[in-house]
Amino acid sequence: MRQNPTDDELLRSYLLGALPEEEVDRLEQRLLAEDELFELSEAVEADLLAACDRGELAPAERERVQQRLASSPRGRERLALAHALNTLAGSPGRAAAPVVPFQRRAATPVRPAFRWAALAAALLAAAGLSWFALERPHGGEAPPWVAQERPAPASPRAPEPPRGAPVPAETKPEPVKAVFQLALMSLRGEETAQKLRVRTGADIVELQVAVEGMEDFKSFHLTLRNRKAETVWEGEGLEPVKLDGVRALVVDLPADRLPAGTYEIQARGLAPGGDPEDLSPLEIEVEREGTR
Amino acid sequence: MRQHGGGGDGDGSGVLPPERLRGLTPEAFYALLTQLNPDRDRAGEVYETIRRKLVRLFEWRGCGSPEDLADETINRVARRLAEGVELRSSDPYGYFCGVAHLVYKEVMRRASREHRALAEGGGWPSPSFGDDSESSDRRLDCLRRCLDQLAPEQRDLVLRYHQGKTEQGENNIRHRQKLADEAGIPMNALRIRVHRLRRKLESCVHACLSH
Repeated sequence: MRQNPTDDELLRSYLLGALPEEEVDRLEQRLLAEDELFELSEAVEADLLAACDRGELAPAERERVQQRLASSPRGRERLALAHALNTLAGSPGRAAAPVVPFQRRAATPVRPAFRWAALAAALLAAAGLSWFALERPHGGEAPPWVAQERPAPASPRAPEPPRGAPVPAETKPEPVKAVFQLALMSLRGEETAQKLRVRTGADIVELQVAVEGMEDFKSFHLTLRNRKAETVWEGEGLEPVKLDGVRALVVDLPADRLPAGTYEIQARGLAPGGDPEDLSPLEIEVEREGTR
Repeated sequence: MRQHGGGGDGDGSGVLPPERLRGLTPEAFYALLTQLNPDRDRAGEVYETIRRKLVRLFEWRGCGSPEDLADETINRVARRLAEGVELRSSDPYGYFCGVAHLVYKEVMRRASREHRALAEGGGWPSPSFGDDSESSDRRLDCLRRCLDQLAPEQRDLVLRYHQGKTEQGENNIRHRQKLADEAGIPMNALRIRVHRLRRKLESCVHACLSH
């Protein structure tokens, strides 16, 4: 592609109908011949539609976008998609807060007994920023990174097999895992527990909890409690592993230990020679879904 | 080569949906494919790529029926090829582009006449932009579902890219430049990366809304 620094500006002018006809001819010939330039043109178009929806364009530009880019049914669909994306991107909880997995507590580390209200300013989100749930048997083709083969976490507690599951044989099908990526981030005013939708048929629920920015903690202690503050699962000395470059704890739980309901994950970081440090808890809500 | 259907597909065996034929003979279609590439499968791919691009070019010029105009362009090229015109192998697109411009100019002349007639009859109907609230809600639901199908880092990228002014008061350009810096890629590469994800979302939302 013969892209130069002015291509995006050129394309913007073209899409707004502000290029002289001879330049339009030349550019359209390039657009037909150069796939990457064509793709950039589509990207610039989508940016214009999004900017139009956000009211960021001058009135004349806005009118041109509506007349040229949103005049066809597909164009109107693209504008509607841009509007929907802007809406979701601008909705509360979508602020550009950095991912802060497991917040440190600022005050004296008083271990709370299942304090649901203490979750203010903290919200579970998926690696990156929000939840990601995936249920599939291991070994499928073209797995997303969460399901790819990776080094086993250096956890002193081996993942527990599903209750009642037979000893895996080579010919037996792999257990179905529901994989959820979690991280804690500060999202003001959001206290709702995030949902883990676990489908019927899942044998194992794998939680991947990002602990980026806590390199001084060599290991972690996690406790999963149900709404009655009963301990459902506990893991000590959990050491983070790298998942696609992200430092994360990996915990495999038998799916049948997680009936539908609300849970809290309490976490403590352990630095060598230091005292355990309580971290902000994570609140999750498990939902059970039937397979389709 | 795969079977071309009514939604935008053709067939290397020369079978095109009737709405695309518009007077195009199978011989002319064969001639077109042969000139595009000696390999029939590859020729079919090139044909689809050219058609898709022509549709978008007509859209970007603000034409209301871009698919019809793209078909008209291709059919004219095919007829000329059947008459013995040869495409320059170094630039097969130039010819399509030239014909597309002619088609566009004809459309403009016709639109101009219709515009005069419409103006005399009370003017253009106002275009309607945006969904009603019900379909807008449905679209949002579908988009949420489709976003859930993306990998978390992809979903995050798309949503962060579409944020307007950030809480820190950054404008959109600076905000996106920051995203590009974070990803270690130039701004245009970021645009394309996001666009590819948006295209996935577009197809997914389209399918979701059709259910």
